[in-house]
Amino acid sequence: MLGTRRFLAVYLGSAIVSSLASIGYYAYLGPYLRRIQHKPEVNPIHYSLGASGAVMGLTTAFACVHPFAQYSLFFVINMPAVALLGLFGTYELYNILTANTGRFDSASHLGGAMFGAGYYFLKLRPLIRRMGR
Amino acid sequence: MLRTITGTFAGHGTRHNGTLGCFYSVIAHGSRSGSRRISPQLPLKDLFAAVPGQSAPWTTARPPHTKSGQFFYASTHRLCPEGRPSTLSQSLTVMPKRLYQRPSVAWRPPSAVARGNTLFINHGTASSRRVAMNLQQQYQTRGMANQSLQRFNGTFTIDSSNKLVYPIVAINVMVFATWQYAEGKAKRFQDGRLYLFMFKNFANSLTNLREGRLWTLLTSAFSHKDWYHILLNTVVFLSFGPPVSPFVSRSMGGGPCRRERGGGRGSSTSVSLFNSRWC
Repeated sequence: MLGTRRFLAVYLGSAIVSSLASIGYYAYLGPYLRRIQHKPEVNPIHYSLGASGAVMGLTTAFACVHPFAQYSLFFVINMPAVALLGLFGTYELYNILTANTGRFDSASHLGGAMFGAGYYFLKLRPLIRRMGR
Repeated sequence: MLRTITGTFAGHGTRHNGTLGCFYSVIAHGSRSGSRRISPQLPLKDLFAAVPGQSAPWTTARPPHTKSGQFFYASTHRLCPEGRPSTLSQSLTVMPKRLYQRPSVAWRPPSAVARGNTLFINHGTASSRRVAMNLQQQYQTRGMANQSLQRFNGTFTIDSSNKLVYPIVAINVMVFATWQYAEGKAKRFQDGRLYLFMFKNFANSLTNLREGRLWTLLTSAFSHKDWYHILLNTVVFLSFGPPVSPFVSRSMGGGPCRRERGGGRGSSTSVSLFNSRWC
């Protein structure tokens, strides 16, 4: 349903947006949140890598189009895609707001997810409406 | 072209004299489509006249009406040399559709089957793909554990309709290998040049952006440094691509294509978001 060009657009776009979000978070927002919450400073030199943001963008776009497609978390717990993504997004948001930075780049995940959702609402939904489902 | 391995259940097929393979048929009796396509009384004489020393058992038979070369009569069961195990390369058999829908009729253990004298090979056709879909849907409705397994299977189905999934995974793996090589070189031989190059060009950081390497925004999306990282990302990436639940996607999202809906009751296939076609 999603053509090759749109697939690539979602992947690369969410990659770029997630990278920007990660940089912005670790350069500006993270230190600010840490100062507010009286947490110790961390090393400002930070590298992040991984396709997680792009993958999150794709999965979010998928979950927006098929919200109730069943997915199994750890192959045991079945839940619809929207619940899965919602839980994961909430967890990321919690991580971000508490400045809980481990090896897990929450900001880039959330940036990719936001790009996926935005792409769905701006591009995919009018397209689907026009195609008449 | 879809090729199922169900032929391995049909008994021990053996390779024979340059033909692709042989099975003795379990399906020739009692199934409508099977009897339409295969009739066990048909002779195999002409086909195996060239086989030296073996001509007697099928002299009463008559050559079958093969449809455009799709079905080949290979040999009788008696013709097969005993004791050779069947391999996957020989099991190109695809059962007809009707057999999947009525497994109680079709599936008999090989011991219970009379010595069928028909062997056939069916190369996968367009209908066999639909047959596999039907089987999948049938298994999907059978129970919770089975559903879970099926879902596990389904999420890891290779969907070749999207031309981008596997190239992206391949790029990821290549960059990951380069990371590993660079790290090993830096740690073992104190030669950190490649490692530094990777950090400058394949990682995403503020310093990289300030020094004008804008492509790191993009290249960092293809680079992984750790095993668990690339594994997790690839699993998620592959699992969200192909269609998962045909019922759900039929009722909720983009339904199946109309031309694919023609098969009636349960023959509709699901359409995923990331299939590279419009429905």
